Amino acid sequence: MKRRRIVTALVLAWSMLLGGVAVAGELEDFLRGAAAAEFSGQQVVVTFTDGETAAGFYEVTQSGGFTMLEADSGMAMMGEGRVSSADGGGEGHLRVADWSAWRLSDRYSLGSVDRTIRLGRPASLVTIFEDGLLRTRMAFDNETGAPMLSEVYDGSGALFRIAMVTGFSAEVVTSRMGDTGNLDEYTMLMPAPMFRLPESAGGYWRADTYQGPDLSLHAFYTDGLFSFSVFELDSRAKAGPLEDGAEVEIDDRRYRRVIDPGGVWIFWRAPDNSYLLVGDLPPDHLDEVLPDLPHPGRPNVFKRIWRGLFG
Amino acid sequence: MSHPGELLSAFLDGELVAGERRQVMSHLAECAECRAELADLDAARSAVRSLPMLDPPLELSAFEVPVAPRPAVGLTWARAGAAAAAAVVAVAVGLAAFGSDPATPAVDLGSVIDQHAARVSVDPGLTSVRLVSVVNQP
Repeated sequence: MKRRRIVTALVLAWSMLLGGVAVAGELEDFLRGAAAAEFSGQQVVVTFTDGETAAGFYEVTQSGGFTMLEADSGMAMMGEGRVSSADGGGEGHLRVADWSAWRLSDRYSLGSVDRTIRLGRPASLVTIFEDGLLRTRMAFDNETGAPMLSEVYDGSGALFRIAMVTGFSAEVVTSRMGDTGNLDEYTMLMPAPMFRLPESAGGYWRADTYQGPDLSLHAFYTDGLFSFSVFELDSRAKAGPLEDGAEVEIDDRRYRRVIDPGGVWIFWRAPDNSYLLVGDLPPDHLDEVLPDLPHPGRPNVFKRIWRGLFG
Repeated sequence: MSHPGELLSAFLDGELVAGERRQVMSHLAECAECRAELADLDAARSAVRSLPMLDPPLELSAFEVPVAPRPAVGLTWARAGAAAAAAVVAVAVGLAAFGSDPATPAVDLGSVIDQHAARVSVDPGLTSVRLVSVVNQP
């Protein structure tokens, strides 16, 4: 009898383990499918944070592992570690030399997968929970895997960002896709050792570190669903419009914040360096992340004198 | 929901309560006319934000403030020399400690977001949403 109970418990535990793996795998399949989907259309993205709203409208074309976005302010094409962008300020071509493998944090779990209709097309509505809290709802087109809708909720359960595809075609006009260009034209971001920024922050792990063209250090953090980069800059670096961003207080420390439709920019000065964070993480995640990074502060007067006299 | 009209502006300014916001967003998903109107509003706001800050004309800012005459103080050459030296040191230290350094480089936000986007682009996910910052940098 006792042996039978043990066997039953083992079978149950094994099936639960397999079930968990299957659920995580299904969520990963949706995300991989969305990245690889071939489609074109329009999308609107709106972010709400502390009474601020940022909205953007984009033409989207996704094909061959590349995504092209066009807006009034400029265009960008990205994929396979490369980005080409053009706006009023000029063009840029960058690529990362190397990166670590993607994985999804185990704090996320798949809630349900329901059938729905988006823009007249059959789709799957997926809910994703984070430690029991509804974090995001996404709708994926059944035929192409394209992401038709995503809603991200903050820690209080309020809608924080919504992205909707408002015009959709499974046909991709490949001539609309720009030329991905000669690899030689791209400035290469080389991996760099990074000792000062922590290996993890607020549940995100430091996946890669790079040295930028201006020799600034760049750390990329992710939890598989959201991500952000932290740039370590000269302590006196001028951050233009970010210095006039909204002043926000997190954990009794002050930062400058600017939001755009798809993300948040945070700038602060610490005694030895300035830091810039940019990413798509929700505000409650940001509250957890920033205390784990170098804190804002001013250098003491002797350090300022020394720097002023000798650089 | 009928066309939100003036609510669109409040929507962009983040002044709507959650229920209204959801209604407006649902309406936007279905109504191309309102999406176009929202795009126009957003473009107008962006244009206004991009206007340069102007300094007031000199004649408006240069009011003369009467100053009471100060009693003359006799200085010896030694005192004057010490005061001048102290002033030079104070200015040098002040500039070093608090002055701005014109050689300090400005952060190239375009390059920063491109670096982030290049790395983001290799991970699966909602690429078309995660990368909108590239075309909407501050």
